[in-house]
Amino acid sequence: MTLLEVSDLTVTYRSRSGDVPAVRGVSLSVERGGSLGLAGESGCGKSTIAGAILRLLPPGTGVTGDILLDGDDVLAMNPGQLRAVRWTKTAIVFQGALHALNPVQRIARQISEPMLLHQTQPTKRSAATRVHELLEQVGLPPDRAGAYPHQLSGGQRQRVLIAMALACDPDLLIADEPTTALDVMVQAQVLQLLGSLRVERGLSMIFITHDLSVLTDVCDHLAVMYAGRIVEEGPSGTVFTDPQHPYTGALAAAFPTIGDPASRMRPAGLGGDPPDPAHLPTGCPFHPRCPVAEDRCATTDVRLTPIGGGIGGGLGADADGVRDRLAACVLVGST
Amino acid sequence: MNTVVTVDDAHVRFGDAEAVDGVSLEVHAGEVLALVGESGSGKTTLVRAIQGIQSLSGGSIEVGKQRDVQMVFQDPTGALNPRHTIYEIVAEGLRIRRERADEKAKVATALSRAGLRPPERFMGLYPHEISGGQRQRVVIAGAMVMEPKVLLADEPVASLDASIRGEILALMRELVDESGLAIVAVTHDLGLAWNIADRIAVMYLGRIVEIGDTEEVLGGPQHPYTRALLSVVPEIDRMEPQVLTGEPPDPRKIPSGCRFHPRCPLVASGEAERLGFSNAVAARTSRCVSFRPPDHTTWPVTPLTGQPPRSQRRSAAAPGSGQTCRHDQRSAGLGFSGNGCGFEESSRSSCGGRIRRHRRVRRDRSTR
Repeated sequence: MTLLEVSDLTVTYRSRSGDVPAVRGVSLSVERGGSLGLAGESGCGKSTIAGAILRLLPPGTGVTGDILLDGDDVLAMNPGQLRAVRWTKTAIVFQGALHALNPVQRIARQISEPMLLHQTQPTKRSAATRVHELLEQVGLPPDRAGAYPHQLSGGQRQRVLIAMALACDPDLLIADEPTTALDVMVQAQVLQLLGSLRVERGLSMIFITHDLSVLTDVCDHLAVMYAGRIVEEGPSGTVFTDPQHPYTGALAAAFPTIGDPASRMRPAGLGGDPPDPAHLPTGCPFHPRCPVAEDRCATTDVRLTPIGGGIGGGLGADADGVRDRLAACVLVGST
Repeated sequence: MNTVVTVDDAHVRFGDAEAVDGVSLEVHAGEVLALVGESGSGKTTLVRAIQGIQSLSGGSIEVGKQRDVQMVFQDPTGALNPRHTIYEIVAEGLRIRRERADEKAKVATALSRAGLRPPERFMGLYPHEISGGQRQRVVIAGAMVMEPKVLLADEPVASLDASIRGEILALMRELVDESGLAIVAVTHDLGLAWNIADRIAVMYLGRIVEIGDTEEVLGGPQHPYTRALLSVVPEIDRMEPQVLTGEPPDPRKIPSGCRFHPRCPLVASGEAERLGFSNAVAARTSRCVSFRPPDHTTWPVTPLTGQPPRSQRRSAAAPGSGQTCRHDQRSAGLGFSGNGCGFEESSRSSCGGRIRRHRRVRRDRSTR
């Protein structure tokens, strides 16, 4: 059953120097209990999608398309309905745990705030009991409930944010770069925690990060974004190990496989910089940085097309039998 | 081999906390040494001590002249003064040192060595006018203008996007290969080490627990901490992830015996006890006692009594084994790799570390 259905979403930020199209026609869906990974560089629009799902974008931002959360249209909700959905249906774990927490409030109070506002816990006392449960669940000693954020380490603060997101028992958790600022071991702890929450509570998740290898570990389905559009999507394992779009290939190669002689002493990068969303290149927006670009790439506007059945073009693609994979590249799927 | 940094039994103490607790290592010209470990392992403190902005409470560090050591920080946006032009930022080191001669030529050379070509195009720009990857190149140019022998890089790519990361790492490797510069890269990213480092040193709570050639350490990690770090790298499927619980202990309350034992998977699984080290782990030794000699190097095992058993003593007689003192190794031109495992605290004067074999990895430039 589909929990979240986003179709043809566009988001345009208004700035003094003109409109900036940050998301340009994105469709995605998350099944109940499923997990979707959104990958891409800064500026590709992945965090904007997270903001759009809960309508957290600045006022005046142009949003079109449909966002159906459990059958209800988020974009059509009035402020009261929206408030009821936030935290209880969908919660966000923001990036930068240090900045997302209030420095002058104890963490117990911050975690219990959504519960008291949504009245999922009627009294402060029952909320305090629930805070202890949540802290245990995320692997923090419950006696840290009285601590201020600065008294906790980075990993502990990230756990507090996860506890807060779980406070009202949401169906969908959106984690925006949940491990970017963390050590490898703490990252592993947080990913393990999120994985076990998925299994135990049937939580659906959207993971947002630029590290493709992390997503492969925790998501069933992967969508790679570039310049406001999804350029490739499919089951996470095959997208990572057998990327079809040249951009996905570059992202996958950026984090080497340790022990693989091909990447030893050969850091793989991608020339150039991500495009400015206000001045996108013509044709395929990736063509100026693309290692295999052809002349037609500068003029042909590419859309996501299914991979599979009689392809071979340009990238040595061989995806027989893979039906649910899509890529937006003229060199994929053409003859 | 030309040694550019010699760290000998360095200690740094903050109040009750021993942030760096007896580290010895050498950095040679033309190599990249990756210093890995969790936050609080003392890797950044050690690098600050090498740069001279952190004083030692014991031991010594030799680095030649102060200007021979330059630093590259993690966040290029924070490291650049937004009101200075790129030219002024890169020239700042020269101006502080009152080196007026050929300032413009030196800045231009530094910019183009950092890959900002043609340099004239960038000199008049401000940091906000260039991209994140270019900003990190400016930071590197600002360090390279002083013509250092050692570059200390603290998480050089952690704040950069995935696609830019490879470019900056390739630049760092290029600088090392072209000019014999040495780079010490502090990171928690083992992929970075695999991409550019000749050697890798793993730190835990102020000590180096394993050090050696990158291929050897990552290919056959010996210390259970190194194994755990490697097992949680996301794309490594062949290893069962060993997620250590909790965080490194408070450096003010370092566990007795092996400082890793409260989190050690070998102790938790009973493996250490089966090997006969249960009491030793908690009581006496400070290095991991569970090692069996690996294939590629001789690795002495420390038993409870502190005297290696006869059979291992014999195997340890090979060059670079525990019985060769580090000064002998240094004079033999092998370069001691310092502070390894397998020896007791009391026997610090004898070496238990791995030897860096001087082995150049062939790199195919055309495929970069």
